[in-house]
Amino acid sequence: SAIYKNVISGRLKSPFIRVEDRSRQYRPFYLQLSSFPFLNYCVPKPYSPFEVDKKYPGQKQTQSKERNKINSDKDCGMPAQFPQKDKKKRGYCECCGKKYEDLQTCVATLNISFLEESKQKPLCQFS
Amino acid sequence: TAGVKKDIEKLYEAVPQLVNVFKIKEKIGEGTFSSVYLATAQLQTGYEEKMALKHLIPTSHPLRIAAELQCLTVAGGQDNVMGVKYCFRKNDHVVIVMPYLEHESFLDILNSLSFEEVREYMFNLFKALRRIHHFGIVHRDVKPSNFLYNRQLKKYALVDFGLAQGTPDTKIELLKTAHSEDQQGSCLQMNPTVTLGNEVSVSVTAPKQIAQQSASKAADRRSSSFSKIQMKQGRGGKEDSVHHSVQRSVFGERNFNVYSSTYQENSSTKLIKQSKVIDVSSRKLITKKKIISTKTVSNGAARKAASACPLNLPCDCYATDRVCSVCLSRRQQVAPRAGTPGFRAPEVLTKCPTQTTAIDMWSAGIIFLSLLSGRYPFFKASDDLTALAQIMTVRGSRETIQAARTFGKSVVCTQVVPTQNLRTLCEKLRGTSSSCTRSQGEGPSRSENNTALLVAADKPCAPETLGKQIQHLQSVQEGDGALETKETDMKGWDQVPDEAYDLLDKLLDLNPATRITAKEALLHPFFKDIRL
Repeated sequence: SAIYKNVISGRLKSPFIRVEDRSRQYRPFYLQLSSFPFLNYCVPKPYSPFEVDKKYPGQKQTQSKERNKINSDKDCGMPAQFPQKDKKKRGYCECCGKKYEDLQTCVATLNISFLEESKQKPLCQFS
Repeated sequence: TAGVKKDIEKLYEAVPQLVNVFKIKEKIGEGTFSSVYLATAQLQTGYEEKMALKHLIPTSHPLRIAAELQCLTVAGGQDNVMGVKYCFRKNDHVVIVMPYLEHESFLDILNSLSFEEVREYMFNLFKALRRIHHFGIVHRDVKPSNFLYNRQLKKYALVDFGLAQGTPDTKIELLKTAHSEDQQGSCLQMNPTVTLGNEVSVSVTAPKQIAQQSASKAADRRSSSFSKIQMKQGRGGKEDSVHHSVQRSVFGERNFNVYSSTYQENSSTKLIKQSKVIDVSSRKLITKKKIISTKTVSNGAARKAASACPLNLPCDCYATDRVCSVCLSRRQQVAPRAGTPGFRAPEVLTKCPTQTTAIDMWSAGIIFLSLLSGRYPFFKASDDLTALAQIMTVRGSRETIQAARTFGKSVVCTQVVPTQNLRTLCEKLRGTSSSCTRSQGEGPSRSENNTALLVAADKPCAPETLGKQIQHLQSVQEGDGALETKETDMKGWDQVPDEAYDLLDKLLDLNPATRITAKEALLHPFFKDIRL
């Protein structure tokens, strides 16, 4: 076991990457992978050599989804496929300073006076 | 397209002025923060012109919108940088009108481009980057879909300043309020991750915008330069203050609440309340007046300590394979990371607070890498550190670690992977070789940890076994199987000069301080006597 008596610390499982600011003022962040990525030349063009899609015959699954995602910034660049209709757009409104579950409701409650107050020159046509 | 029709109707409704001017034809793009439409306008000359209408998400702050417009008006309109024709607004709906440039899909043409076309493409990309960098704009989202390319007309346009940031000396007035604020506000980043029994709770001045990541396409994200966002995973509740647990002397003190960072699906990981700084659409605008609501704390001393940034207790985990309750209770460093995964430079991936125009040059290098290898996207990672690992497999782990030191980051990586020869790499990936082989690198540096412990049952094999395979690479020149069915014309790909890979090497310089600039790139021998 990697846990020392009396010390609340954990040992990272290899393979891992650990990043910490050299000032030592900030929290380290890390990623433990089930396997380290590698250049896979058998992925057909034009796909990424890091593509881990099973649809390519003869290709080995290399990066399991069983990764420990603790403390790594995930990108949700590939969101689950929602049906395009009725998709509620969640997000954050910079104007209200609130997050919203549904864009429509946020926009509806937007305080228009905010725009007037915001000292911005009115956006207008450029010639 | 029924949905699109509805969107077009809604757009006319939201901004009625458009009705008199434009015929909106179709939706040609949709991002997290805007939708783009193709429209035609009847000009006074009687000529009908195609235009692109960018409808910004109504939640955008006026300052952000104005900054984007200023980038277009000041830097745009020449040197392959998109300009702006008009802008329409009604209330919170803003539509930016730009000239329309019909363009190719990068993926569709990637493997049919001639080498000469690739050279011209890169030259024109650097022209655009030189221009915006001259104005002190860091684009942050340089990628093929933001660099429009019309192959027939040989026209190019760098678009989308929605994520742009200013350099410290930026000439774009409105970006001055919105450049990276490294230390600023980081005192507010209090992220307790480990709760250690009965702890001393210290209230910290941290009004946090808890952001929910947009579930929609978030390929491009807004920069955290406008905001500091916290997301508590799991119990993503609202909180006005974050309680920071301070454990006085963790070492040598018995605590039953043992935390192990080792991953076991249902072990102590629930102790870790992951909080992260993300850079989705949630963005708090940094204005000169920064309002911080301090939560009154009964304990004056505690408040004093809190307002002056928590003291960082030392620990022995630095540059090791360990983390502990002490270092994990420190605040997270905040650095901008808006952009697209796979195009982020190493200094972005490692949260370097000072990011320069060099991050755009890295992205340009990634585009060049795609063009030379015929692979797009080249890197495919779902998180920043996986992206960094993938970069290491191309540029070398030691090299990546060394470069990171120069910009203030300690990187520990168990895997030792060698740097690849760029020519060999690109030719292998571009070639039609059927050899299926793992890049011959050294194995993990610590053999006792050779195999991942958590090999899922459905995994066909560990990659280590692949490494045993022998490479049978047939070079493209040998022609075997590399013949096009239609033509044997190699389009210049059989004689890619060394200069190409030299430039690629300089773009993918792991050290942002020495990475080639756009101005320098245009003078690189790779572009000598380019036909303009």
